[in-house]
Amino acid sequence: MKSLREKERERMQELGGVQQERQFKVILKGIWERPLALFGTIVILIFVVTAILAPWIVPHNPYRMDLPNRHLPPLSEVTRQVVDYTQEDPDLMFSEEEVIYVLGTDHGGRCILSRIIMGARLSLMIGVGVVMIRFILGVPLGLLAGFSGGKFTDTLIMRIADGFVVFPDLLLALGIMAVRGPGIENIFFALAVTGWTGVARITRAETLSLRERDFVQASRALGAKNRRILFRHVLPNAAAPLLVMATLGLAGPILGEAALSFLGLGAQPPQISWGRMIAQARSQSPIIRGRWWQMTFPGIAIFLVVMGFNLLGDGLRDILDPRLKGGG
Amino acid sequence: MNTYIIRRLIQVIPVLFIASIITFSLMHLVPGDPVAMMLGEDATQADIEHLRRVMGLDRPIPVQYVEWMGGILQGDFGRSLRDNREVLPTIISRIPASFELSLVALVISMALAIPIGILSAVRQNTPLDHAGRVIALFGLCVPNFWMGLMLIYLVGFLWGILPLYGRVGPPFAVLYNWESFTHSILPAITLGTAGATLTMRLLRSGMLEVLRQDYIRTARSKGLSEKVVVYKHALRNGVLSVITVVGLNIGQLLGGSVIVETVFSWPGVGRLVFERFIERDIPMVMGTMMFYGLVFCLNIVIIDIMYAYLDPRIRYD
Repeated sequence: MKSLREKERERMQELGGVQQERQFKVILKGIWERPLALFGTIVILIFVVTAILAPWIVPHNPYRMDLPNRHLPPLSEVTRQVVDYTQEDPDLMFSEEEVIYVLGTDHGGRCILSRIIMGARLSLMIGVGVVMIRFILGVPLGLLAGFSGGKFTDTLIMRIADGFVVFPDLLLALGIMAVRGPGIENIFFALAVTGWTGVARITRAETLSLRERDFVQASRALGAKNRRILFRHVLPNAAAPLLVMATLGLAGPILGEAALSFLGLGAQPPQISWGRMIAQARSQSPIIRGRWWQMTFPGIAIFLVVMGFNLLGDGLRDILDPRLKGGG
Repeated sequence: MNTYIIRRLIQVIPVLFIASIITFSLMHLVPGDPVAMMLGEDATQADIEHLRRVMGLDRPIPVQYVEWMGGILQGDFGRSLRDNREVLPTIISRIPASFELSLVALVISMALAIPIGILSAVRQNTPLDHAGRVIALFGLCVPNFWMGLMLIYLVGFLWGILPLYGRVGPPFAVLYNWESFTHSILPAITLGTAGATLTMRLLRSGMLEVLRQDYIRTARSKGLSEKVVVYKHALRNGVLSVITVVGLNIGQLLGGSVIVETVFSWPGVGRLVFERFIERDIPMVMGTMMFYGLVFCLNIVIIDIMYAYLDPRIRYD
């Protein structure tokens, strides 16, 4: 006597359900074959490794002020005074060292390269964290809406989602920040609460189409309960579009955090955020001083990370959803 | 057609109702005491109680909602906490500046995006297509506030071609006054980029979709020139996706205006939003949010109606 699981597996293979073990290899192979997706993956890997190793690879202490060396342009070689408080003899306490600031310094004489490297942590953390919360909120709601398809629960959930979409991109997040005040934990909250609707919508659409598919019907005919159908059949098969959505969705919160921090609502000192670096460059260095490096390099960092996730996401969509090939 | 318009307008009501609940609950369900926050750390308990009473926050929440919503339906959005002016007239006074900037942004972005999007699809996988996709990728990934600052630095300061920021002249001067117009170019480019790239991407895929249809193959097989096929058969059908895209574009303009107007010191609604949000002027925050929601919904309805007007299949859905 075969178990339900074995019977299901046989039927699923006949009827075209997903086999997850193979999917992973397909993805890796697909990325390898697509130059743009591969490029995006490499960019992301570089930033992830940088973020993890940040405290050990920064050329200078990103928080330390060096007031005599403020506003230095890139590739400046200067002498920096070093104070060693462990020395008892005052003559030995002060010494000078030759240093090079590859990307220049900001208004506090802090090394811009080091600050960008440390800033990668916050940016990626916000991206991943916000997307996770959006999925935790959006996937169950989408499943619920899709599974009750057209009934009251569905209508209620989707109307609420519509209500969120009415507000332009950052406006609701700005509103939440205005009430809750600035700070990273509020950014998490604001970006997560405003972004779950997209996830719910995709999950619902997938659920609606999957529950009519043959292998789900077959499983139901074999006596599987709703919960089993949801978690063993619908969710695994909806994983591909959700993975694409998650990858593409990482760009939004990263840009959102940068924008909110730029407006002064996000990261607070001493936290290092790329958006705040640009805001400080704007307020501390008037345009006519021509200190372009202070705002250029953090902006390039934001651009590269967002581009990496977009390229990888586009690639994944090509790989996992052949219907869209050549479409976007 | 009339029934269609009425039906679409009625469908907007529940959406706006939920948007109003979201806006309202922002004040009441978000953790923390908004009143204490507004008054700052030096406020005494009596101050907090007083402001709470003035704002009507001491009454039951459903009562507060009904009163607030009732006011909005009568055009009374409340009064600003900062200058005690009425919210709605303050917003309205800022509309012309935002509107003219959006107009310039829309014209610039569509003038660039529509030809590129169509040519990308018609000449798929040529260098022109690749160039178009690179531009689209750039616009998708670049943070708009940073792009604005870089434009100010490069075009405005280094090359000295265009003014750095600010707005001159009476309302709608951009339409006839050269100096006003030059002031609007950089913010308009910054504001229009997001929508322009979205337009390019959607138009390209929309046109590719049309070009794959049977009637295009029929047109080709009966010996029509490629020009006639593309411009008479494909484009007329592709235009439908342009309308959707223009609508989305307007949504993008609304969303981007807060940051762009702040970067360029442009005295529009977006700049007002930023100033008052920073100051925690809660009635103004709620008022502008409802205002944006309303504009967004109207925009969607207008797009749908245009769509139905141009494509009879939709009306009979």
